[in-house]
Amino acid sequence: MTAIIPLLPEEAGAATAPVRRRRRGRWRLLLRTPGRVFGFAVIALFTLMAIIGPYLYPRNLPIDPSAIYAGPSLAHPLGTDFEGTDVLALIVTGARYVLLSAVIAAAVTIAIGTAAGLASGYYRGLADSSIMRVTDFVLTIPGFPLLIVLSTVWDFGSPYSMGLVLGIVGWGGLARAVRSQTLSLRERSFLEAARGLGLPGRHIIWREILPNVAPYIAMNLLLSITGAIYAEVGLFFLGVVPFNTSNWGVMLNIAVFSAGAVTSPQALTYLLSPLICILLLTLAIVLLLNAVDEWFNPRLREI
Amino acid sequence: MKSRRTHVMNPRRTRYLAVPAAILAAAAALSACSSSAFAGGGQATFTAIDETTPITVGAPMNPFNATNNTFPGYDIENLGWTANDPANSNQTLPGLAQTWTLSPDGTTLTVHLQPKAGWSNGKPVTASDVRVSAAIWFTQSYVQAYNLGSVKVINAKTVQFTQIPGSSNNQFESGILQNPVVPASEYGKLLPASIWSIIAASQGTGKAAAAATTQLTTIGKKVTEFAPKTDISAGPFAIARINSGEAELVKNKYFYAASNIRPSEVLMLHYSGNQQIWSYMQAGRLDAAPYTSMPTNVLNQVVAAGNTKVVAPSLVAVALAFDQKVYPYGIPAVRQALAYVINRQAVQRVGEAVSGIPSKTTTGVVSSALSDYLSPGQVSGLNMYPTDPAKATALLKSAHFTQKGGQWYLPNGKPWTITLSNVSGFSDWVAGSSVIKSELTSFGIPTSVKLAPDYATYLTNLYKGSYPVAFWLIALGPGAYSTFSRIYGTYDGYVPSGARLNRYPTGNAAADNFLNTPNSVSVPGLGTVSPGQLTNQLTSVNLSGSGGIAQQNAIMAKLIRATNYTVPVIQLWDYINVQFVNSKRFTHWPIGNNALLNASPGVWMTYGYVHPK
Repeated sequence: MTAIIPLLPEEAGAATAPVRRRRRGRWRLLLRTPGRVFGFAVIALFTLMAIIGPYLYPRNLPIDPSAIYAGPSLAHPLGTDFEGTDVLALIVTGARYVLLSAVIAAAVTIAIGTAAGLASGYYRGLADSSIMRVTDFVLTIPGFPLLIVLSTVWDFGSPYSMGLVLGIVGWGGLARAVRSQTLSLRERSFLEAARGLGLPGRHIIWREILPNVAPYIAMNLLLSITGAIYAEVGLFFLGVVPFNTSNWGVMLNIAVFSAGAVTSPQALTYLLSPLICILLLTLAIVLLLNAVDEWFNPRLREI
Repeated sequence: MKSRRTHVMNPRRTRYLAVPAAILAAAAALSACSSSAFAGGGQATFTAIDETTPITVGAPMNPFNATNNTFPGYDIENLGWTANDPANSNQTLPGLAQTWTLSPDGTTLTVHLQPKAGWSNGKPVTASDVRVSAAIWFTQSYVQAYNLGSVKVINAKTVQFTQIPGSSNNQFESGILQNPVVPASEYGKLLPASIWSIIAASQGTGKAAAAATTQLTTIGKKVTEFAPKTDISAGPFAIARINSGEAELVKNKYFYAASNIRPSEVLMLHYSGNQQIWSYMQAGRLDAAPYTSMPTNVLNQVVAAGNTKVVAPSLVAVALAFDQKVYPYGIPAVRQALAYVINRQAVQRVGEAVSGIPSKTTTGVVSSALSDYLSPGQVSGLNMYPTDPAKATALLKSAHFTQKGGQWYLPNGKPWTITLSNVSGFSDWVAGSSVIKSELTSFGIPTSVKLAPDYATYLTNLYKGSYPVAFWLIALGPGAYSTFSRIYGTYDGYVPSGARLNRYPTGNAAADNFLNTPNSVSVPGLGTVSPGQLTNQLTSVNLSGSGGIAQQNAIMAKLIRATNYTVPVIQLWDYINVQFVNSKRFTHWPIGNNALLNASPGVWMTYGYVHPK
């Protein structure tokens, strides 16, 4: 039985000091350049929009057939859509689906890709062959066309199902890359020592290898989010998934194919609003990647 | 059935142009084509797009192929062209048929061909060409619905069509005349020598008839796959070259009305969707453009670019259709309540602002045609279904629906939700359904819109019974029967077989029943009527006989009142045929001539319109 000896207050303070320092260090990383501040702020804004946005408006956004494609005004800062609904309201309420499905897709991609890559690279042999054949199969499936086909039988109305499917079809590349890194790491001396000590494979994978590939995985997480945003908006843009006026892809579809926004200035804000949101979001993620890179690679901070 | 196909084409045109090339797509040069773009350019070059042919790479110059590169009115000439006259659906403009006579009993049609009609290869168009074409119409199921039995060549320029003995279809005349004629020298070789024996056998009963029908289908497939190397046209133009971007049609000097044709050539441009057509018009490239769905802001730009909006009546309406075998849509009060919830003015304003008008009420016929069948007193006696949520609430409560916390619950206690089915790319329908979704959700019935990826998938699912509430085109005139057959015809399971009217359930391949209306309905002031039987009776009224029109109108009045009361569909908006012409290069448009405006500009030219400036 292990005895638990309570720490004295001054000892507890000494123990939490490095944690606080680390947190301060991460904040400093985020705030080090204007680009990162911008990226962080935009992501924070869109996250906030996704969380509280739908509560700011009625569930069923009001329509106004007498104000179709109205220009920007105080009442409608971004104008109105094809049925006179406020475009700002559509953007705000539509953020949740876009972000939630993108995050889920990225999480699924990371979870499957990392697990498959680590297991394949570490255990090798039959496990490696089996996992990599499945990975090759996933890689050979043309993702976007598959999604279009799937959309005929799968209801993408929920961000969870959209995220899940995007994640399931998108993990192949990450698995291959993680496997390569694992293969390289497993020959390193510290892992040979760990094996020599008789540590179980699970411990070596999660405690020894994973931290070493974590920077790469973190970068992929963010890139997967941008990829998922493009994919889901693309699907909605093509009009092959459930129709929801507040979806940014649906907005783009209607703006281009029905509203004549490409040639008509009247519907321009309706086209530009979701487009700029998507661009801002992806730009913010890319800007933040820099900070993540530094966070995981302390050497970069000295440069 | 060509006529049915034609009737569906009109709305399809409406919808197709709202569809970014879901049905016909893509592009690449035909093997025989030059890779260079055509110069066009000359003052007499007429530039247009065709409402049914966006130009598809590799598609054959064969009008019987579903995806073909032919242009009706230009290089495809029918015996005649429908005048789209709601008062007389048989009213037809002469095409290759110069004149024709219908026997007093309406069962024999004698057609006299244009004496000067010639193919673009210099050979004359003869009655034999028409007979071969008629055999092909059978293989494509164009004419069976009109009870065509036999075709007889009287002389080189006269051919006689006769109905199956014992039948009397009042749409026979237009059903025959509205079909294309193709050269026997090209298409005759696709048919077996025994084709007319097979056709005769298919009109019988039993296994022999079924086997003959199968044979016809097989021959029909061969016909649709045929790809002529050159375009042999009996129309005013023939295709000279075609590539992925455009087709060049040159004048057919052997055309029977060649002297009327002023443009020396026609350039048909490829398009992949509405947006491209808008761009063509905004750039002033098109001399004429058929109906194209567009919002008001685009219309303003198109008109500002020098295009003139030309309006003609259209006998098509769009409606929300219910599958009555799906609970709770079999309850009349439910459908009536929904009709009171939906604001048709708002739906039309958002869905089809430019080319539609809100339907006055829901009757199964376009509002402008109501007076053809009903007296003013009868019209005013119809229920107009104004937007009235209180009435809707009362109706639903009378049907034991309950409302808690703003949400409606079915009598069985389950929350009532609706999924509106629609087609991706049909921008007017999708926009309209978005408004309905909003209105129903606000009323307390959470509604979502589900899009099928394309029209073919939509129809397949619809006919399988997968869509309880879906958008549907109705009132496809001209013609009383074709108007109501969209509700009480094959889509309600009714299929005539000789004197008998069969009814098939959803899923039976003999019909496309997805409406499942009751066999008979009780209508206040009218008693019990059988809409399916009444609709079928419309085919056999002798319209040329005395009292025929009155008899037809009496049936129509009953159907209108029954439809208005039982609401098998909620009529949303009536279409208007809005086209555009540009007078920069050409003048003399058939503005005001509604019969011609229903046909393509190639037919306008045949009738002496469209002059170079």
